[in-house]
Amino acid sequence: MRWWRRKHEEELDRELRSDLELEAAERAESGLSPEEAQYAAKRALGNAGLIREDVREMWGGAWLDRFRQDVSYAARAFTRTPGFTTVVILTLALGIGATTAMFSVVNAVLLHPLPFRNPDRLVVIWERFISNPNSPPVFDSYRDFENWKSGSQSFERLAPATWKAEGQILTGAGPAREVFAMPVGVDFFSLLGVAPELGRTFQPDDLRAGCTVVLKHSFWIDTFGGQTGVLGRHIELNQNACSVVGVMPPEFAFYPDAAALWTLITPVSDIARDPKSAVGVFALLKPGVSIQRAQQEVQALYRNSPSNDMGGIHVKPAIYPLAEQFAYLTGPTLRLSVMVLFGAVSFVLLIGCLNIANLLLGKSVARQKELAVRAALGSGRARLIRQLLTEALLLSVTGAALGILLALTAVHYFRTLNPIPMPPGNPVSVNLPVLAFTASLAVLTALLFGLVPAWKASRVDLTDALRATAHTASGGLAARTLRRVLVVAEVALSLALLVGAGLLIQSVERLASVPLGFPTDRMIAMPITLPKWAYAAENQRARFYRAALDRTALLPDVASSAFASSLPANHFGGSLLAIEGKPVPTLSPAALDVGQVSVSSGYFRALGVPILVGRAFEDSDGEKSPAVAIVNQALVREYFANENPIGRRIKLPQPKTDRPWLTIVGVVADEKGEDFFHPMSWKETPAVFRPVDQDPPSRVYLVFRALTGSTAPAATIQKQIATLDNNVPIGDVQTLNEDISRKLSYPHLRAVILAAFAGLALLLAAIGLYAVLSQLIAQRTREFGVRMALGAQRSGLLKLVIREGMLLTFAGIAAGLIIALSLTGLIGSLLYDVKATDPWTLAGVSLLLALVTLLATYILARRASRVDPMVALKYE
Amino acid sequence: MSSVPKKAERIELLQGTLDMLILRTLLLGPSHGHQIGKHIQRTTDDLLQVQHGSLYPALHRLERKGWIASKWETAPDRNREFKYYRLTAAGRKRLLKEESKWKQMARAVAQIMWPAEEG
Repeated sequence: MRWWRRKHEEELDRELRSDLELEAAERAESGLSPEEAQYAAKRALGNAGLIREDVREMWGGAWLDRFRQDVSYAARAFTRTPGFTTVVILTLALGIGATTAMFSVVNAVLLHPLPFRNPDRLVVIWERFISNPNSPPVFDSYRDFENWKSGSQSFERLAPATWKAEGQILTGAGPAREVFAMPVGVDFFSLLGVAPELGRTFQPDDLRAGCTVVLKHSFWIDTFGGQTGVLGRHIELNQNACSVVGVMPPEFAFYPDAAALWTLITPVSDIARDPKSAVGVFALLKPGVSIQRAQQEVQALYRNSPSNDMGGIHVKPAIYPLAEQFAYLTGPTLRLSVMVLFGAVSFVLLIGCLNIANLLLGKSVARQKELAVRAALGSGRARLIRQLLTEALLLSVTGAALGILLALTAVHYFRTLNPIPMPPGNPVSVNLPVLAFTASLAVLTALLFGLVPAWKASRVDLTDALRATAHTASGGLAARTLRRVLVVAEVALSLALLVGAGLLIQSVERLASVPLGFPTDRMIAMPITLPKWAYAAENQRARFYRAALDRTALLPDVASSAFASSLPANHFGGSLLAIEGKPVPTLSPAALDVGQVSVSSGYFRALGVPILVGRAFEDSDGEKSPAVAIVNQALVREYFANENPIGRRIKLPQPKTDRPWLTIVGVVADEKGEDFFHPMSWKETPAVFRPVDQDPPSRVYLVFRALTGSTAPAATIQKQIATLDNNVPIGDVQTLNEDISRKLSYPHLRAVILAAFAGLALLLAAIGLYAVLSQLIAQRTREFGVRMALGAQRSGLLKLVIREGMLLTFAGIAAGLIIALSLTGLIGSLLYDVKATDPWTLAGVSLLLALVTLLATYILARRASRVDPMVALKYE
Repeated sequence: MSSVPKKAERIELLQGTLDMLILRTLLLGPSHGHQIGKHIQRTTDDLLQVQHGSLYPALHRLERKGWIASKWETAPDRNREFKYYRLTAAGRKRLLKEESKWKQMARAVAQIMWPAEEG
């Protein structure tokens, strides 16, 4: 390539030279002297440099050459101003890096199709309450699935799957442990179109066979060491022999993450035999069928189904895209959080670009002379703009390259630390689409920060610029106004981000500091699951729990301990409440709000939940004594307003209505807990507590308060329980604080990230202001030198600089407040106990911003006021 | 700066026409750049002055398009080499096309400018 070009250059020179000689010879023939002829020929030829450039243009590939020239010129220019270059590249690296990292999340959660065969046609059918369309969707029944499967035309495949199922005890593969085996229909895997890594997935023949399972990759590795011999082997789930038919590949993921394997729902499964079993129905739409059309069809089928329990009065089916539901189920605020944070990081990048545009504008004033010289030597305006844009591109590409490294690091840490649950499907990664985004970001940012300065700089007035010295060049009024506007915009955008960060931080702090009604310090919990086959009778379970508690109570490090069927902050509603002498409330999401919790007699004492009225459970509340219940204040507020609940009789009609009436013997204070579908709140679930002896579930949590902060006693307790029965699986030990902070993980991470973005924005805005002010000082140093020499006070310059700084800051704050007020409405659902227009937050962050910019101004003004008049005058 | 005509304008002004004139000149036989320029100038009684700044880029462009080819050859009357351009087969076709286009254009312009002569 190079030799080709050199040869061409030489030939062109030779060609032009021979033309010149011929011309000169001709002119000489017509009577001119040799010198005159030479001169006339040169004049006839014109600007040889320009001709060469134009000819080169015709060769093609010239742009590459020119580009290389521009790049090397730009690189040289940058090495001359290493400080400026470093600031710009760092700004871009941070801005582009943060944006790339956020985009990789956006891509994984919102954009990239699920890694299934026909992701755009995969849907899930839920049911939702007609009376309250905004309430979260609920499961379908197995009968609905059967009706839709036989009656609908819209779907290529339908399969039920459910996570409203209990864990099962796995035996015969190491120590007994509880696993979640998700029951799914026969078409589940073929609907998703994912091939197994090993063996096969379910097929119709399996419906007539016994229990069959497909394993998740990680479960296969952990339990079977990744042996291929696992195919055809039997594993025991609740003592059922299940044959392993296949293993899914490592990248296969479905909701929920806890599912370690999938079991097939056969006609003899519990789920299929009870038509009311709660399942989700997953479906593959036929090509060309819209969600609306399919929804109309299943709604019609639902209405016409005579066996339907609810007759279509209370609920109706609704269809959602699968990807959207994955995100929603994983975190109801996930999509919004991701969008808000991506918006925020775009602001940061925009501020970064404004800042660089600002710095470049400042620099272009100093470069005016250089550009004027180049223009005088024949560089066209387009060429000058191209040169300046090439410089911008060189900066942005370098910044983007560093930014990609930053994003890779950030994504790596995100995946290692795993701070929040992420939806199944696409792991967050800096993949090709993300890199393509970053590449376009590099070009976009270069245009954003490079175009205006390049345009301005190319409009040089030659004579003026050449005459002016570097120190008197001011860049003109328009350029100065532009730079001021840029700084105001930077301040405004960073204020908006600060407001958002302030609101989110306050929200999570307030949410975290709400007293939940039980002190969580040193509280440790572990789940215990009694095998159903060995503990079929209630009294067997009750006896085991009593024995386990007796042993735990003897341990020296345990202050108090108890059993509960659900952890505090996890008492979920879902039942209707029947009160003796009152009609059963009609079915609605609001009425289905009562939770039932079985607790041992020491529960309230161990948790520190006070008994307000009546009594706590006693050891005498055994299986033979009258059925009793304790209710919480939330239940009293809702169902016994202005009545005395003590002595009243209640029951939870679902799922079994033949249960005995329960007499209320006490009222306890509320425990606040998670509201899964409204994550930015705590909920006081109306709860009915039952003595564990009268209603012993097969799965409970042992909760205890340790004397020290360590979870060490848990190991001792595990050993003690193993001596009672070593076939009883004990799940993961966790502290209640861990449980609570997991519930706060989304709001917490959101606030931290937004605060980091806002901090970065503030820093950039401060740098921008500093740069504009220092230029102002540079321009007026001479003037002030003269003035001081004539006896003016130093404070004059100081005042001028501070006045300018404050003016820009306050204009920025005013504009920023307007932006903030128009945007914070978007994050209303992410806030807790603070309004989007909270005046204290607005005032607080404005003050913070003003202080930071004042500091920047002050540092600069101090430097400026030390100007020595003599030095300033010597500039001339 | 402003006295130098913009490159874009120069090319717009001359491109199509100059290309055709160069091709037509080469129809007479291979010539080097200087000869082509002089030929156009002399044939039109100095009416058309071909600027070097237009001629050489045009020659290189035509060569790149494959309409003309070049070779360094010794001139018959002088003892030195010149870069001779000659018309290729593709160039001949191109010339015919350009010519008929130009004729059409000239007729169309004439119809507007001197309608009486047509009637």
